[in-house]
Amino acid sequence: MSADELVPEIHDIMKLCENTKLPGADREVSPHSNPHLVYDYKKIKNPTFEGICKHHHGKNFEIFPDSPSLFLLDMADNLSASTSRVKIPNDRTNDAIFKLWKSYFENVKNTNPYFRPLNLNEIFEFVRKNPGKEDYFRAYYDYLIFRAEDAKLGANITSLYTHSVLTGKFYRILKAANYSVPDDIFKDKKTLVSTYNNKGQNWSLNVVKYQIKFTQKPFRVGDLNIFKVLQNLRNEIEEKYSDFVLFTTSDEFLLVLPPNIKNDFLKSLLSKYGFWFNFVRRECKLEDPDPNTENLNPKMGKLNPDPEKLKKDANSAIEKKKRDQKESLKSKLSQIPEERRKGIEKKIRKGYEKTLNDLERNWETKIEKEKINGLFKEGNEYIELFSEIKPPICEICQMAPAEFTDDKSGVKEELCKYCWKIRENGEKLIKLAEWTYEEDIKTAWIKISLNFDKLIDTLEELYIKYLKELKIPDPEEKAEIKFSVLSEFQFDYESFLKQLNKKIVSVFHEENVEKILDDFFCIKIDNSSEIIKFLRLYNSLIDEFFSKFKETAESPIKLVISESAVKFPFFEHWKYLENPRNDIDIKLIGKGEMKVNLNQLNTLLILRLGDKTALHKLAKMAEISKELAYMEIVSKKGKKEHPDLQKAVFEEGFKISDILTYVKIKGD
Amino acid sequence: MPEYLEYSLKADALILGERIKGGIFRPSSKSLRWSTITMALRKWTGKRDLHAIGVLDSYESNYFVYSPTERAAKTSKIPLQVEVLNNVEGNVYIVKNSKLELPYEFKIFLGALISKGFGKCDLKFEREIKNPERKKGTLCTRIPLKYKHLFSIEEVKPIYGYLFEPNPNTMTGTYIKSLFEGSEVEGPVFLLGDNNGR
Repeated sequence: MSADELVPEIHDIMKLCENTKLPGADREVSPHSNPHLVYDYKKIKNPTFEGICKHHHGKNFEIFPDSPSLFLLDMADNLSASTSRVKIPNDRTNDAIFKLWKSYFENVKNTNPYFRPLNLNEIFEFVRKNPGKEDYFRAYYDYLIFRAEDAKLGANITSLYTHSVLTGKFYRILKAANYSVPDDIFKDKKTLVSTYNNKGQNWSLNVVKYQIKFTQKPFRVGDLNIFKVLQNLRNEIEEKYSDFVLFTTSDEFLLVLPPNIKNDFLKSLLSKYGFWFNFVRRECKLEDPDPNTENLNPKMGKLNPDPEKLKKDANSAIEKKKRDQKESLKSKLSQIPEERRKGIEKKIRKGYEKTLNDLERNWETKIEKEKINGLFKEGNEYIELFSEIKPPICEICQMAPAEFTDDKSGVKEELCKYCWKIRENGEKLIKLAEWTYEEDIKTAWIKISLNFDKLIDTLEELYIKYLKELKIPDPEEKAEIKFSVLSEFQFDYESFLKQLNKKIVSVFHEENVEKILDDFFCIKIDNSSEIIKFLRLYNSLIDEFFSKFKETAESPIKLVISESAVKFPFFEHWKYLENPRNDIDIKLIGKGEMKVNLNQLNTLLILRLGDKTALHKLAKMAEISKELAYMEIVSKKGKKEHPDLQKAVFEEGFKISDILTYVKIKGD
Repeated sequence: MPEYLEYSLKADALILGERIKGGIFRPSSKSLRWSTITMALRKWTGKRDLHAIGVLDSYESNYFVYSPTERAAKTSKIPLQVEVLNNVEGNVYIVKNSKLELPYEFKIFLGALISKGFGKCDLKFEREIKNPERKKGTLCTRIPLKYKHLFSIEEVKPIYGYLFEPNPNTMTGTYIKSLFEGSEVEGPVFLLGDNNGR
């Protein structure tokens, strides 16, 4: 970007400025809240300075946007705010960011509520140099990541850094949308405000969630190049569409697209490798399109980061109804004498089913209506597939005719053009290839995933909890997870993965770690008990970055570990790795599996399992018969020999089958 | 609207091989796809215009090590680890057809390693289904697109793959585009479940 253009990222720099005595004020005031005083005091002739002073149109601001660019900046600023500003009372403030996933409310009360490290002259000097966004972030990064975008307690949940990055993105998304902003709206503030509200309720953007899928079943080490290809593809998408990509995991993308960009624009990129993707798209207005009427869901009308919200709301409404009906049926039946129950139960059930069907139909109609109006769309997009394929079919993906023969390994393999390209082009996993020639080697495949849907629900749950601590009324209604919170989370999630990468190498040593992706590793281990070393380091990082997830019923971050002899085919591991079902899933191929909730991890790691010989005996017994091992633990003899195991099962809530797998891990 | 014959299926040990070549591990499919059950029933009845699909309700997954023998050279090849589904219970849905007469109970053989004792299935007639209730949901088996109308299936969010259809009286065949488990469809409730079966 040329320095002569408006740099939207810098718009909130004055939030870092100490209170200052400005001409026209009788005391020291916040320059950010009094931009007219700053503007009157010093005029710097560049668009970024205009943006700093004129990006608000609220009633307390005497200067306001007076050009189409500033109008878009104002809108972008609102879209990337942490909350809908009208909702949180502003009588208590704290400049420090409160991270929903790791900050503790008790600490808020003890921190200095002010963090304004710059003075106005320093800011003038900086802006006068026509800085770009990179200059801004380089100069003030440490301040920006600490300072909350909105200092009001309850709204201080995203950093100024995240907000600045996001404002830049939204500004360019709105520019790309080519919405027209007539010049005559700037003649007075009243016209500007009414146009602003009108445009917000009429302009729309598409929120699209993509998940990349592949059908390849990699069985040779060389085929694992698919993950490198996936990563390169991800980098390509992020680079090419950097302003549109608002959230990513290793295989998911959340994008905001201007209406003039079709949602199949990724197809050409993905189809280079025969990948397919599923997408959910929702067209949203920038602001609540109908703020005065009671919407189906007050959070639905406007730009929401969850394009599936309507469908999810339908499911949870139906599930809730089912639960309520079950309870109500139980209570009604308990009041009826047993001999009359049978006949009446049928009648009540029928009535309930009707209510439930009506509710289901209602929601279905709503969703259908959205689909018909083109607001909601979902589907799976594939490369062009043949209706019939004459043999040979590709042996790896089984989705395209085989056109190439690979016989380098001594086994003849027929491959399609996509799988051939993946096998030929990617980087090789050299360490893993070498391990396959060693005797008695085990490998643990480790995959960390982020469940996007669960993330939004969990953040909402934690936000409600924070607002309740602050005693803010109607927390359920106010706890809205916007793009800014997701971006803030992503920032921490990436730091978490960086740390994880470092720690894995330091614990297991470089030569034993094959990194496949930032969240996906293969580790060479001598015995299963080394898995516990990984669990310890994972636990300490969760405590450092996402301690609050241990207080929720289910964590959005999932860990799967699948262990086997090195030669066991990868695609069998992949079935477990790609579909985490619990917070932590551990699979010892052919030996057992265990599932652990994140909130049980501390207890598990300090669990005393008792005498080593007895444990080894128990593990061997479990390999022959789980039932026999169970009897051994719960029997009177078990109470004597395995008191800690009995405690784990009866007091800590672990399942016996999980504990037996843990015994096998520890005993190896 | 087609009508269906529902048979319950029970088997001690099944190997429903995935079409994967190479490697020393052969996984088993966890769904009873159109091609497997239809071809087995066609072989058993001798009728070519028969179509059926299956849904597995429960099974245990175990491993079996097997070393194929080269009879001529009297040598064994590298042992293979094969995934076996034990204690399998499920249902088979056969499209009703006036020319088709099936007994109340019968046995068929499905899948791989039949000569080693795997694949024996007991089928028992349960009911005739007319006008089945249709709903939106997740398909829990595999059906070729060109036969989806026989099972009253409409795609909503399809997951595609290919199933093998042999050419009659030849050793060849073609792979036909099919709906795989996990597809969102509108169809008879008895074919819906979660991604991995019901």
